[in-house]
Amino acid sequence: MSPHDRQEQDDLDALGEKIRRSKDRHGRERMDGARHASPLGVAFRIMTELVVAVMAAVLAGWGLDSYFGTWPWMLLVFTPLGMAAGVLNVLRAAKALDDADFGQTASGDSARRKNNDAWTKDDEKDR
Amino acid sequence: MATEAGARAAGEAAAALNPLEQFEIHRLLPIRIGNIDLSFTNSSLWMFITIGVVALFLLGGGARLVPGRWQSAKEIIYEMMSSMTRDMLGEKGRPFFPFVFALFMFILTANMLGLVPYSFTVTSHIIVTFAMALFVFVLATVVGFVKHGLGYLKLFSPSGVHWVMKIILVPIEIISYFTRPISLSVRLFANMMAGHTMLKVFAGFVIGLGLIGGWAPLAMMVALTGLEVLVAALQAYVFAMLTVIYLNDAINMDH
Repeated sequence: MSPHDRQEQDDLDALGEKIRRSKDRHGRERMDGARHASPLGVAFRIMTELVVAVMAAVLAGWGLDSYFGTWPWMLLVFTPLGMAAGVLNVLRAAKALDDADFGQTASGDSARRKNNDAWTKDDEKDR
Repeated sequence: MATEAGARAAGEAAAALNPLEQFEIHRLLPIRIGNIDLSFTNSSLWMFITIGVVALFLLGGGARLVPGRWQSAKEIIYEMMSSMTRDMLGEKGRPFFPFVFALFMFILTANMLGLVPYSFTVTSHIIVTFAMALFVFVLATVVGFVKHGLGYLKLFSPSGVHWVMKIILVPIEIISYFTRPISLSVRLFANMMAGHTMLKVFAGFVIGLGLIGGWAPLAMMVALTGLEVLVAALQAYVFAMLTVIYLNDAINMDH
């Protein structure tokens, strides 16, 4: 490696460091902003979880009824189960959104960093 | 009085310009094998165009040390998806990254191409989104059983619950599990279809109200188009994110 090359390498490293620092400063905010940019989207997401579970359960009950000829018992069993499943889905979705917003706990962060390091190291090996 | 006449004209125009016409499927190349209709339709055509655009976008733009705009765009998307997969799945999720990335790129590009006038929105048909969601669902289920064997069924049985409660809770969990592909597909399809129908309806108002009153719906349309771009990107992201969440359940069995 000639002195010129080394100089260039140092410059690139300095530039990389500068970009990384700038990204650390601005990147996180931008990503988090994108994550909950649209309250309407969140509302829609939660709503589909509820509606779809009920609809799927009603259809499943209806289908089983017409297949086994047990009208209306399957429908009566499946509809409340579907409603409960819908509520469960909504709770899970809301919890997932909560985790995305406030989930930067100490343990999660360190686990994430460990993962990142593992990937980065692998990437370097690949190169 | 002028507005009344305008409103009536707008109503007629909106009725004449059917806002749902854009979702019609046309056979471009009728193919029939036995009783199965395998025609090459406008939907198939736009799927091919989508794949072509994705390929063009990812292969072009160069690969320089200091990236240009095109290359930066590629790298930002790649890094966003890779960091999301890595954060949620960890090291074990690495084999699934190409799948998640391909899915994201396809949906994002299909959504964006759908905003081009006279184009066809592939993702506005529930059968297309459902096919994708079903693939994700089957993949996650197969991965779950391969990794954990029959232990994957523990996903349906919440821990620390009395067995009497489990009689009720297990069916609920199972239904909740099976609604995943449906909610995944309905969300994407409904967002795309609702947005495009709304744009078409407002476009009908612009024509109906003419030069005098047409400016208000036109301004609304500009705003809506901006919103649609956001929705197109967000829905692609949500689809990819939920895919990763379902894969996470299968790989790491969190709850």
